[in-house]
Amino acid sequence: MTRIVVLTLAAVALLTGPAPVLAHHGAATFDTVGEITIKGTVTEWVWSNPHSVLKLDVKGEDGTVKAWSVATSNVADLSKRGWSRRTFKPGEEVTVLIQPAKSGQPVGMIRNVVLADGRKLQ
Amino acid sequence: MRIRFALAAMLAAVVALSPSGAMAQSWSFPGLTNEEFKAIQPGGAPPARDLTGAWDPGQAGIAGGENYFTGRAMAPLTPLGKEMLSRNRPGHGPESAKVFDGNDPLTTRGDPSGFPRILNYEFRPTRIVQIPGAVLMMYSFNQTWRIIWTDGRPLPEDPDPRWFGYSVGRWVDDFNFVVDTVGMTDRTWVDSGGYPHSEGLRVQERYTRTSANVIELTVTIDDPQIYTKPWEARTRLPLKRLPDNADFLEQIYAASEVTEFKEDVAIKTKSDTP
Repeated sequence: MTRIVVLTLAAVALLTGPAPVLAHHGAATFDTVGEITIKGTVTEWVWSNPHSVLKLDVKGEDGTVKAWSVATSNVADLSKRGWSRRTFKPGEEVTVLIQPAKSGQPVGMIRNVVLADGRKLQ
Repeated sequence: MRIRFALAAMLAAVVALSPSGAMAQSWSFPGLTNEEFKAIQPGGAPPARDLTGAWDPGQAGIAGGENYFTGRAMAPLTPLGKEMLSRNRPGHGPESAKVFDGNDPLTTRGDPSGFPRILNYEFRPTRIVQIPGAVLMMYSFNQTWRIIWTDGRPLPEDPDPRWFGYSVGRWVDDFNFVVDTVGMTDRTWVDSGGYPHSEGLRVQERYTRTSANVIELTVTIDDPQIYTKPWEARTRLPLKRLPDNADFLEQIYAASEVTEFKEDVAIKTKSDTP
């Protein structure tokens, strides 16, 4: 029962949450599934079009590090929301809610990012 | 926070519409948010035969997605139109493909939007300049411009196709400026939904200056080889006025960036990625 409630809440969140961060392609065309949270260290912030990409190293429970590339919107739409070229710096710790790709590869769509100082970007 | 403050100051200037000065002389304006767009009021009577200024179609201009396609009835395709559409794998609309499989020439190869797609997708802040004998459309997206001749010349009869075609315009009354365009290369799509066109495409734009702060734009697609009847890609799309001194954000789909995204992210969303 708990699982059903959680799934329902997740579905509601998806339906009623903020506008998709990735405006250029809808979730269907990006082929993502569910949502997960990853924590890691920023290696690169690619401020570009048609999508900006946050690259980060994520350490797994077994200690191995996997390099993730998670995409968000274009420069203009991010600028409207207060993001900039300087939003992330290599070495910073971030927590990212993403919709991972169905492929299982370490890529996905950003839903929101929580910075080390607690600020939330979406 | 500073960015939001600058935008708020800009919006206040837009509402007050004192193009000469109230707006902070800021740089890289990314376009109006939905709230800012809605807040701009008509602003009084329109000037006659004048489209000059900086204009923003807001979110409806950007979207090639839901705003553009929902409820839209494209004209029925001819057999050739269906065959051309079947080869296109867009990122938006009813025919949309997965991102790893797309072949949108703009978003996967960095081709120009071309015309009329520049009006149907990523139509962002645009500066209109009237000079003797011509009107210049300066689009912030991809830092692109086109010229509409108003010097009375006829359209070319057998033009070599261009990305942005050949355009002539005329005022049909004090508040309606009508533009006809021919000679567009069929390498471009009509919109982000992959809808095709032939080199026989004719496009008509009608800019109606309804008030000091608003222009409405209707875009009609007429391509008998591809569509069984003319259809409107835009119907009275409102463009709202920005301060004349608004500096637009540079937003370019550079081929190198497009390729980098494809290699870093898009292709890895495919399930059989090694």
